[in-house]
Parts: sequence; structure tokens; C-alpha cells
Amino acid sequence: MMAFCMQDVHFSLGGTSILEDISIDLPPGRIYGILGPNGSGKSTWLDLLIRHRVPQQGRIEYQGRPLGSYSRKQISKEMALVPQDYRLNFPFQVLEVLLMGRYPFLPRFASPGSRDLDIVREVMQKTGLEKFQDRMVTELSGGERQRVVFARALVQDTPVLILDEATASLDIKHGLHLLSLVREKNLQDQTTVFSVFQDINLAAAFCSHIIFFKQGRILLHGTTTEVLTPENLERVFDVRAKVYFDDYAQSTQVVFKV
Amino acid sequence: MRIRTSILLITLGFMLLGMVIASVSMGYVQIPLSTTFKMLFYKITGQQELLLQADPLVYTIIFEVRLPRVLTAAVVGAGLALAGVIFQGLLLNPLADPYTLGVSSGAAFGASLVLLFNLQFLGLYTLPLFAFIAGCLTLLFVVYLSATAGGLSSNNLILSGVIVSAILSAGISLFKYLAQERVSVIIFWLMGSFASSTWPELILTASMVFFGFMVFMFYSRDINLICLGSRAAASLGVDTTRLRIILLVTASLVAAVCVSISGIIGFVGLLVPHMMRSLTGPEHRSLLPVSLLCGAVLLLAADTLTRTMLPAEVPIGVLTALIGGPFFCYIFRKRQMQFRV
Repeated sequence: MMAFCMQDVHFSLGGTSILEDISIDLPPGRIYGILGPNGSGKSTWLDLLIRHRVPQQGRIEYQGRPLGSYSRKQISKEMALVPQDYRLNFPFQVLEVLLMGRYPFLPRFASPGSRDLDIVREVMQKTGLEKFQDRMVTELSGGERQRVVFARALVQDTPVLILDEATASLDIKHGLHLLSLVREKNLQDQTTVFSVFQDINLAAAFCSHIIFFKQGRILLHGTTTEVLTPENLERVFDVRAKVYFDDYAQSTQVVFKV
Repeated sequence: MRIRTSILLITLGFMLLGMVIASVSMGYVQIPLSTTFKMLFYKITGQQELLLQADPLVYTIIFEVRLPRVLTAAVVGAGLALAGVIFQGLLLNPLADPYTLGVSSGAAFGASLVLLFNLQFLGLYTLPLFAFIAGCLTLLFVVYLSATAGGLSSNNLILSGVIVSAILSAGISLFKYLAQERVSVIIFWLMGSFASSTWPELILTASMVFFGFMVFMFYSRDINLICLGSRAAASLGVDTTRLRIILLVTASLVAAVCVSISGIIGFVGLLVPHMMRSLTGPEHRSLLPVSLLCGAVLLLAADTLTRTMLPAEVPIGVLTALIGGPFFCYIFRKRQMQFRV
């Protein structure tokens, strides 16, 4: 069964069309890299997946059922999101923010149980946030905050993980580390991952499949080796590039002509 | 440094109880604490012999004059503090409160209208109802003014609140001008006072504040999530649009009822959540009850101060603005320095 099925999806905002003619079947268990120029509708498309926004036209199915038939709570048990525009204006402790990732699984007035705490502890240990657990999020640096937000989505422990430029403000070490955690989980539990990247090389290294967006449409999609070609990069981004397999990185890599 | 919520709740609870008993005893006619105790004890247990020991005048002073006033001050303080917590959490803005967002001015505008035309078609509820409608409309307009593509920016929100408040204040001034000999009613009401509190008004306010508190507590976990931004909250199972509307309307209702009873009392809703957040952290399940008690204690203390200790009774709204205003400046300044990274 498909994880997601989209048919003739159109979405517009205040009269401006943002997404047009989106029809795509997305089998589960893959890591999808979402690439495209700024303003091509990538983030909005993610919003449709998680039903933060609802299209004016077309059908979206999740696991064979219309997405609209799921309650908000059911969706939050199926999909976790690392948004681009997170806010941490209030002095929550890191541990408190991570525990919020367990809210969908807890009745409204219940305190987290031992299983929830175990999950949180495991994620903290894997993401290296243990030493921050009692710190206020307002005191952390931008990159550290993003790691907290990332970890909160991992704590949700869902079959689908949606990353919207989730590593954009991380240093290379932490960025690679978090993405390899995501890949590890994908291999282990067959989770489905959608991730918007600005860095095409990161996408090439971590994604089995690539979906290219341009001007609100899905221009093309397929396995990374199939669609990540100089011709396609020129069509999508209007840049000249060389694509090659790098032995050291053990993945497809791209260099650009400046 | 965080203090355990339970300890804070118990401490504040006892403070409130102590304050109520002390301020009922204090005033132009000094009542011994023991008499106050006996009277309150009589009211609770109904033991007639306690009543017989006391002067009937004392009974009247306690139950008809002071207790309604003291309890109203406490309830209004609680309500304003709760509304402040909700506005700050929902708008992701530690500077929001019913006063800075213009809700208080809006409610005052609606109430002045009622006072000007001496409207009474709904009896006791006319003033609160008009205050609520005007307060809600003002909030909607302020939010509309300050909304940008990227959400609600802190400074825009406060700026819009101030602008709208200024316009409404001009409107209120016009009402005062038009009111001619009735002007004193509006003026005294606007400056805020608990002097004329009565039991029916107290019960109305208390039930509204209690209703609001229940609603806020029910959604307390979702408010925590809203603090992470609306997309994050949505992905954690919160229907953000619906929740925002429910909470903004309820908070405006609570604020407007408080304003309609007591006039404009600024900055309680700003100060209290701030102080309490630094003690308990921003987790709303703790923050809400703690702020409720703290707001009650604080406003009761301020009211008792103006009633019994100052040589002349300074209107409570003036007093809280004189104390709270500089505090607002302090937070604002601190934030300016923090966010310039």
C-alpha cells in the first residue's frame, strides 16, 4: 500500500496558486529528498501531507484512506514534523520540550509514563542533548535550538517523518549525525521520510528518491541515481553542474560551475 | 531556579487567605482580627452564639461593605492575570496583556457607551456584555492590524494595541464630553475602583473567571504546544485555528468582565505571568493556577493599600499603572537587548 497518494491536487492561497496539478504515488519506507528553487511550493506541499493546509481541489490519501478522515490526533501519531519556523520564545527546559513530543500519545491530563521517559532519554542520548536537558531553550544558540526541535520530532516516534530544511542552521557534524539517525531508523523500522533540502549534496547522500519542484509543480521524480543528472539540475535550478559518484563519500555528489 | 508548583500554590493560597482576613479587618473602622475570624467562622458554620457576641454594625461592615470589595479585588486580579497568561502564550509574546493589546480600552469604550446612554435593558449584564463585545472586536482588529505573512510579530502587536487604544481613548473622551453632568460616573468608573462592589457583581465576575480558568486548564497542554509555533503545534495534534479562537474569545470575555466591574486596571496581566513564569517555568498547567492566585494576592494588596494606608484613596487603576508601567519598560528594554543578536 502507498504511504501517500495524491491526485490532481491544487492549492492556492489568497487567490495565488501555490501548487498545481500534483499527482504522485509515494510508497513507504523511502527517504524522499524534496528539491526546488525558493518559492516553488516545497514547504506548502509538506503542509498538505501533514494536513496543516487542505487543498481546494484533488484527493490526498494516507495509507489508502482519505487524509481528511483522520483526526488531528491520529495524524500526530502517524507523522512528525520538524518545521522551518519553530518558535522557542518561552523559557521551557529542553526536557519539557522533548516531552511535548509524547503529548499525542498521552491523555490530556496524564503525566508521561516510564515508556515515554525511556523514549525521550534514548533520543537525548542519541542526539547528544543529555547535557542540555535542564537548560532553558531560550538560552541555547540557534543550532542547539534546532537540534532540540529535531529531537522533539524523533521523540514522537512516528512512521512518517517530515523535515523542512531541518538541518539548515546546524554545523556539518550535527547535521550529518542527525540525518544518519534518521536513515538508521528508516532502515530499521521502514519509516518514510520527506525532507526539503537546500544542500543538494546532502540530499544526494541521504535520499533514495528525489522529487523536484518548480513553480508549484512536481517537475519530475525518481530514484536519486536516475533523476539527479546535470540536465535535470539545469531544468530545475538553471545552473550548470557536474554529477559524479564520489568514492570517499560513497554517494552521488554534485559540483557547480560558478 | 524553579520552585515546585505545589509549594508555590500552598504558599500563595495561605497568603491570599491571610490577605482576605487582614484586609477585611483593616479600614476606617478597625475590627479586631479575632472578631473577623469569629464572623467568618459564623458564616461558614452558622453557629449563632458567635454572632451574638458581636456588634451588628461590625457584621454589616464585614459582609455588606468590605468582604464584597475584598473578594472582587481578588477575583479581578485573578481574572486579569489569567487573561495575561493566555494572551502571552497564544500570541507568543511576553509583552501581551489585556491592557497593552487594547482589550481593556475596547471594553472600557463599550462600557462608557452604556454609561453615557444609561443603557439598562439587560440589567446587571448590560455593562459586561457591551464591554465583552467591544473588547473582542478591539482584539480582532489589533490582531488583524499586526498580522504579517510571517505571523504575529511582538512589536507590531504592541504597537497596534497602543494605536487602537489611543483611538478608543479619544472616543471615550468624546463620550465624557457628551456626558456633561453624567461625566463623573464615567470618569470614576474608568479610573478603576472596587469601592462600589456588590455581591451580585462579584458572583457574576467570579463565575466568569472560574469558567475561563476551567477552559484554560482544559487546553493547558495545547497552549504549551502553541508556544512552539503553529506548524509545530499542528503536527502535534492541535487544531490551531480553533484553539486560538476559543482561547482568545474566552480570555477577552474574562478580561472584559473584569474591566466592566472595576474599570481599567492595567499591567496586572503583564506583571503576574512574568513573575510566575520565572518561578514555575512556562508549563501552563502550573503557570495558570499559580498566576491566578498571585494575581488575586497582588491586586488585593494594591486595593488594601489604597483603601487603608494611603491618606486619600488613589484609584486602583492609577496605582497599578504607576507601579506596573515602569515594570513594562524594564521588560521591554531587557527584550530589546536580548533579541539584538
